Amino acid sequence: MNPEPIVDIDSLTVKYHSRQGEVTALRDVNLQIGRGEVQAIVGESGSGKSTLLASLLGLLPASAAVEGSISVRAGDQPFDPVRAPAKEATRWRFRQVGYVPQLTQRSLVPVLTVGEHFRQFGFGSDWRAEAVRALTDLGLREPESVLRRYPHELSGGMAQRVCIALATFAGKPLLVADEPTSGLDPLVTVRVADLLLESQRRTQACLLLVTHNLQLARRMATRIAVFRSGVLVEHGPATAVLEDPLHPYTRSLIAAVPRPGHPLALPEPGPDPSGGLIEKAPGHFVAMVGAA
Amino acid sequence: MLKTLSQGGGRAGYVGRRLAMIPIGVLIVVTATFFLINAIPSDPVGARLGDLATPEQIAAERAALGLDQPLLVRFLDLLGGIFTGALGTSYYTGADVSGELLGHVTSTLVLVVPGFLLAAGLGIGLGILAARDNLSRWVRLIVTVLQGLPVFVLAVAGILLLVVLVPVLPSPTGQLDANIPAPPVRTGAVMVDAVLAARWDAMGNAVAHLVLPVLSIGLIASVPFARITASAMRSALAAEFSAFGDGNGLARRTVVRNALRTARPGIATVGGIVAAELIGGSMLIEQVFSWNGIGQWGLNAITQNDLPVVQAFVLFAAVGTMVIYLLADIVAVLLDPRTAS
Amino acid sequence: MSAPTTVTTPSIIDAPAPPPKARSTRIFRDPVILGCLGWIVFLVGWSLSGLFPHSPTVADPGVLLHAPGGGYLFGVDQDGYDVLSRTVYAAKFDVLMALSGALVAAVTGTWLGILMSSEGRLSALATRGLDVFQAVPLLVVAVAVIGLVGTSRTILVVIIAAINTPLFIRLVQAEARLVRKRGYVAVARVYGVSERTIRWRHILPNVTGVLFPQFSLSVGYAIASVGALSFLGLSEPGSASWGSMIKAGIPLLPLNQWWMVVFPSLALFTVVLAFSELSHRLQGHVEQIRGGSR
Repeated sequence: MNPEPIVDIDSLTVKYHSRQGEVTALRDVNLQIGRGEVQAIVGESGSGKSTLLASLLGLLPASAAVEGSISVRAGDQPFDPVRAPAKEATRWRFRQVGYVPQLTQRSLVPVLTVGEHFRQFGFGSDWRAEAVRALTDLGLREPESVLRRYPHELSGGMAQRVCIALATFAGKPLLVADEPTSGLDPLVTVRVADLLLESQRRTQACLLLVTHNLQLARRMATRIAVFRSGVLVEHGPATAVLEDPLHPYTRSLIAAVPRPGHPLALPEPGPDPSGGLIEKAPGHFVAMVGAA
Repeated sequence: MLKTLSQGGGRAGYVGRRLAMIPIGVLIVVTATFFLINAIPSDPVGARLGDLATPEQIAAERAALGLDQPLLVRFLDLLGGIFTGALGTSYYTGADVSGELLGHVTSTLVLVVPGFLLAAGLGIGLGILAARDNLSRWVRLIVTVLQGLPVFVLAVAGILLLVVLVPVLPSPTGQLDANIPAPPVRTGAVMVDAVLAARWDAMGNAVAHLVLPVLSIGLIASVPFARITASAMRSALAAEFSAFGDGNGLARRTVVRNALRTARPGIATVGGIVAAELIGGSMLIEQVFSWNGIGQWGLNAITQNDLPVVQAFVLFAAVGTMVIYLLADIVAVLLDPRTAS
Repeated sequence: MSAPTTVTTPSIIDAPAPPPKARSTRIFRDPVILGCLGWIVFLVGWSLSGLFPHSPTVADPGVLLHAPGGGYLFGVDQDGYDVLSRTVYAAKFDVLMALSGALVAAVTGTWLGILMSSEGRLSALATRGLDVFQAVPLLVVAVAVIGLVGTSRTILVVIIAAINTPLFIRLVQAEARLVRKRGYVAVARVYGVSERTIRWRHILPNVTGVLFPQFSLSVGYAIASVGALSFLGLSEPGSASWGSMIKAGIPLLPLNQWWMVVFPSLALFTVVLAFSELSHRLQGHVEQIRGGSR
């Protein structure tokens, strides 16, 4: 493993209490992500991806009960987003975390110009110069004119670049991307993936990619973690997990991706996995129950 | 820079086009009002002279009032009068109608403008609070109660509470206590006249007389503001752009301020509707407080069949409504960059 | 008229499923809806029953301004009417006027709304006309007309209908445009079903759901309007209404004789509140039914 993990998730369990009863969204999750790595989190909806994302950003709802801890060593000292008060977590995100949303115009405030977005997202007085540099780096011509435009005056490609530039602004050490390409067509998805990777490499940030798109994970990730019903069922180097999946659920996920010449198979509802991970190959872990 | 300038030109063009429509609208409104007032059967002469008048007296009176002229001539007279600001003379007081109109409008504005501002502030505030989960129930309760209250019922409740039970406010009739000598009339609104005459005692009393009507208008008219603000804020805070801001650590108040900015065009439109409704609504509130404003003036004229005054009153209401809607429309467009170009 | 051919739509097209019965019974289990309906029915029913503690139409000059109590639960007004009897009696006039006005508005508005839901210059023009009509200060015009012509129940109903019809038109127009986009309307069109049949057989049954919340809201609004007009002294002279009772009572308020104002005010307030709360609840149920069938 990477000797210097930026993110260290230590036996994290998150439960929601509602009138219907208790729901365990994440169960005993352990995960480390190192500097410069691209860690994909894959799984279906309801797998706990969103809860993991919210935990990492310090945006869990007040009704969530948390056991275990997260430690992010992005700044001078480690920070635990699930324990920190909301205000502190907000300040921490502002300095350390870039959140990359779905990359469309809808992620921008319709009544603010692009420049006003940068002013709100940046710090310091020379936000304008930095914004121009960031937009130029992402291949936008005439960045000055882009800063004066309103979101509805941007093309799709411009909006994607603006969103990426905003989220990666000021060299934030931790990037979290939440289904950044959903709703985009395949060609655009590839372009966006490359733009994101470019930004990540430039700052050597650690990128957490939450997605249900295995193709995207294959293109971007160095490591892949597969979640199912709140449990981390398989975790390893991207190629190992995709080429030689150990857990039956991972296999069915991969089989469900349509490829020419292969019959389409849907993920099977196998036994509910629980318990810790065992190492089957160097750096490649799989859940004990249900593992082949 | 070029881009913004050309955009500004587009907006100016739009505003110009909308403003150019005012004269056409006024013409339509004047025509409709004239024929409405003069076509419906009413008997101003009979109302003036009573049942015992002889046919000769009636004919003479009709000629004196100009009612013997053909409808078209009277209509052209009115059109001419609008350009010169002469709206005829009252059948009853013989006073110049346009002068009376101005005096009464000021009295009403003293009531309605603070009421509107209070409504906007209160309503937008309540709406922002309602967008927060833990408070929405209380705000909804307040809004529900207020929207069920006719404005005159709330005013009556206010009188009962603040004049009768806890007598902190003066008797709710008129703009000034009867035992305080009124300042010389200059605008028609006693409070403004008192300030102009540096009569501070009268001003204090006039302000006390303003409290209840302004409060009633402000509370009732805040409901539409609260509703539009809450619903616009709620959808803005649930939108992708708010999640983007939250995720990147924008301060909560920045995210809320952005959401409010997206809500502004809708609030402006609703503000226009509220302001327009206050023209009619002021009749009710003036009735409760015997407030000598435009509504009371019009209402008295209507019960007395004083056609020139009725005509001026309806005309004022119609043109006022039209102008308010137009202004609100323009403001809403200017606040929304998506519609401005 | 050519016989409308009923088209059997292919089963894969999402035909409008009739809402399951469970949903309509759920509406009648909602305690707030029951409470609102109960209060309205109670008040109007009592008013129509004619069973009052004292006559609401014959004054008793012997007990002028009797304070509440002693056989006169809500007191006696300055003319010698029992306030309780007269407040209940007035429900008949106020609520029934409002109901009739709102009903006229609902029928006219639905009809026009469906007609104006089609694409085309005529409906675009009609929509512009509606914009203009809604910019008319109706309360002022209503007051002027009633003041000059004199009042009657017909005029009141017409005014209430005029205020509320545009609201129904806009609602039904928007809803009907959504229905027109659905698969089965397109299929019906392909099968050569006439525009007329589409309007009244396909669209009308599918827009009725949204009418109920608006109807309830309009009745509440109309009761407030009737109250406002009678408060301005423009209701039928002699007929009891909450607005005119409040108007008559205000001069006596500073003399601490509050009962002539308070009880009709409470009646007006609670009934308007009941209708608007009813509307709000019905809206919630309509949205649920819609969400469920999506």
